[in-house]
Amino acid sequence: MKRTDQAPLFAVVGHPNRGKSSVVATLSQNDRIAIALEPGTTRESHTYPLTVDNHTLYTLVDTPGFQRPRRVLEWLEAHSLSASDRPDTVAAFVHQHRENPKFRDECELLTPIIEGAGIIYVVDGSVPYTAEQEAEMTILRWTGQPSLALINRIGTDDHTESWHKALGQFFQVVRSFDAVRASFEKHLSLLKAFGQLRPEWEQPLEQATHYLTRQREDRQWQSARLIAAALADMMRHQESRTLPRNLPIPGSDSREALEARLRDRWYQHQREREERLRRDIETLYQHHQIARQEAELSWHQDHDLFSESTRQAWAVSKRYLATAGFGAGAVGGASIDALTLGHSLGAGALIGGLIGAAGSYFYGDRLAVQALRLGPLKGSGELQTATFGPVQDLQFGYIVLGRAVDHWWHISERNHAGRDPLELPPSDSHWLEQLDSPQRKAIQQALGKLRKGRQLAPDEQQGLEAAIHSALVGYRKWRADHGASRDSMDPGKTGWPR
Amino acid sequence: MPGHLETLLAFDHQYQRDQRQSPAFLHRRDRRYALDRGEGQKPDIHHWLGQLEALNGATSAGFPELRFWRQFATAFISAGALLGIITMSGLLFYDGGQQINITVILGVILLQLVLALFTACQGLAGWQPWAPLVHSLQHRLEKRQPSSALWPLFSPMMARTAQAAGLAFGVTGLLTLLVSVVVQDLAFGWSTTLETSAEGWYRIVSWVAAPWSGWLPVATPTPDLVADTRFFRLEGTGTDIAGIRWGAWWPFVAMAWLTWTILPRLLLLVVATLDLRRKGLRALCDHPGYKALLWRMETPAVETGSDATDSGQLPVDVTSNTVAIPETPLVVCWAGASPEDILTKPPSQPLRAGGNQSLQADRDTLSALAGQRSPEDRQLLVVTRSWEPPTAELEDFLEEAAERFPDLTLILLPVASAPAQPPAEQALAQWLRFADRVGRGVHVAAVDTAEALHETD
Repeated sequence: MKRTDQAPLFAVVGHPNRGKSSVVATLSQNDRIAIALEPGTTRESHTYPLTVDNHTLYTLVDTPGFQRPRRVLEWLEAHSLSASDRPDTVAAFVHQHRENPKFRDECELLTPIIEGAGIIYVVDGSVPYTAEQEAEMTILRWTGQPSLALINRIGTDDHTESWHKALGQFFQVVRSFDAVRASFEKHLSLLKAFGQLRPEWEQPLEQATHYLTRQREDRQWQSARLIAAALADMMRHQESRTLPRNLPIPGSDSREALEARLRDRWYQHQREREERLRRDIETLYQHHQIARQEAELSWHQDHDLFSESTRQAWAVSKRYLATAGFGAGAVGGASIDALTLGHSLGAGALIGGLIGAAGSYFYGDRLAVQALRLGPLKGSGELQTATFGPVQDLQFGYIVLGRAVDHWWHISERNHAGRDPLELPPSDSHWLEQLDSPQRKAIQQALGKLRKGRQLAPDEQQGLEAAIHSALVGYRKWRADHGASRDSMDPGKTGWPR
Repeated sequence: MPGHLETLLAFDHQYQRDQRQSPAFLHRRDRRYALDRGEGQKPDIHHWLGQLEALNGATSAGFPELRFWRQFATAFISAGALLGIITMSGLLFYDGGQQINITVILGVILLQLVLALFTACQGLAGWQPWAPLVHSLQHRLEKRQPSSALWPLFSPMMARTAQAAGLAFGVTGLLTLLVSVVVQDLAFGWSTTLETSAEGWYRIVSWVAAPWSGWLPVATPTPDLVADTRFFRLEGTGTDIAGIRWGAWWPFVAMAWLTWTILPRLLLLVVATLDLRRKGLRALCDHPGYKALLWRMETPAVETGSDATDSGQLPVDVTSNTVAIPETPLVVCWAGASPEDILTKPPSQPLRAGGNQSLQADRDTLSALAGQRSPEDRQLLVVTRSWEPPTAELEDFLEEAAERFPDLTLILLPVASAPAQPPAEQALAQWLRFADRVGRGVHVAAVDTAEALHETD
């Protein structure tokens, strides 16, 4: 009956609404698990295996909460003679009441335990300890299975200390774990603690943490590739339209209207492409249910890609734009001047000619897009193509990158138990500050090439991806170093909504 | 077995199709392939493509991108072959009035050699001055842009085509020479406006003939032949020399053409083919999908159970409303809840149930209630903590109470952590739904919001 030759199984049990599902959601990276369901509605156990190449390393079982623990305990006490028969008595209870709807939840949660699962008992550390949960803790102790208690704080109050003392009497190991805010390192630490419950579980849990670490590193690289691809698309994007020859006569109203239309489509495309990047990153990190606040109407607000506040948060100084090509330059961040994104778009056109540092310096302080250009006549000479774009201003690339790096950080650090809408408060440090000169240079050169509408060579592409990857690593490190003192920047805290 | 260009294009097509698939699916698919292939077996793109093709039940429908290049190469090589015939016929044009000048033929051979080397350098260096012309031609003929996967290969592809055309030029030129030798009586000689002595000219032709002079003396000019076959435009035809001497040059011309036109072209065609193969392999390795594919094959597929969807049903909407808090002396505090600050006349020693009490203690509570109640009492108030979830044990208690006191209305009073305040809307909703589930006329009472506000003021 006992599982000794199979992958470890861990039953996550507890009182209803004490955060069992949020613990499972975070550890299984599954944001589809319904959290805070109606207590008392009958639920079945759900299993969440961690598999590597279809080989299961461990399985989490999310169980219903105890509904009638005192009745169960009364039954157990009435059928037990000594401490040695307690595990068998618990198994007998399950066999006896498997079909009894009154004890359906108890049977559901006890079944994996009597089959050998380790017990992960979850309590809410934000409510005071009361002795009323002692009945269920006693039942779990009767099963004789290795057990670990998790204090998961759902609310803001902290009663962890009193829970620690009480739980220590019933469980082998007592850990605190905030399912919504715990870092990835704490996930791994918790899994390792699961492995300590039985000697034969240590190795699979070690393997699991190894693979999860590797998965996280891979995701970081994949994110860098996704960001690099989106950046290339956005920098090179050009809107075009084929029209009758006479329509876009220079200076005419129709020409201005055409330019305005193409410009609007260009804006629209850039926003949509950025949004697609965000969805791709969220999918990569298995976040499928993030509450979204973006809508077309909200694009004209502060968090819009083209808003002034976005510029203030993510633009770089014109000195940086002028010198980054040489691998030097101060980032400058919010103190830059004269840039008026959204107003100058399409107004100033930089068409070729000026390259390198001087070009960056003079034109980097305004976002210039190649304004309306008319192609050669086609066919019978009655049609011609009007184009708008690509963007000529490297500043746009830095803003796109800054927003992407920041969004990535919020997603990669977000736990799957989190249900708050994603919010992206502004940062007081620029992501570029974490990069060294060669990587800054690689980004600058890639942006310079992309704005000419050219494709990057494979080595340039790899250089850009490597630089973005370093930016991600550096930004995460900076956030980790400063996160403790900047609560307002933690994922899920209040700030500017996206 | 498909060539490397076909493999590159097939891979590119698969990559384009894969863009529509989820990364998780692609990882599973390719990791599955790598695991099936076995430990230590290097991933093979041909095999991988073949397996996908077999699994999808699809057969390769050819590559339109290559069709243009094949047609272009055929036309270019045909043109080269035709030009070879024309050129050699022009060189060997002999109307009996003037000898065929070996110097001109050597000049053409030298030009061919220079062109062959230039083409090779251009192909190896990747220079494509002709690219816009070819792409424009392709766009006109096929109404399509060249495949981006082939971009890095245009230069070696063009170099190979050019070398093949040069080879065709050389071969048809040689054949034309041989045919002309058979069907015509050709008179070769050498002539130059420069002050070149027969000895000097002999040294030049000796260098040219060096590769075969050791083993093919018949095709190696002698000093006598050189001295005898010099002609001057104003001297007439030089009929004083035996006719055989004028024709003795043709083996040299044939060997010079073979050695310095055909063989270099053949050699450089092999080089261009190898270069194209090398660059084709490199293009595959540089393809944006290739590294991703290798990564998917090498990296274990870690599934954390994130795809499983919880089947839990979301709560239904609340249909009932709260009632006012009744004034009744029958009050039971469930699981440690307290009626202090919420009831106008709280009982001095409220009865308790639930929590860490035994079930027997709950039954004793009901017995005590029976002793306490007076005939005019109509309600039993059960005070609970609003933030605690209502459990089945409370349901059992309420059912037992309803059976024991069928004439009493059971009213739940969930209190907030601040008793004077009404419970949070979400917390209250779960108690209303609980009351609906229990039935038996159970109601939920709550502190009136207006009153609570008044008290706060």
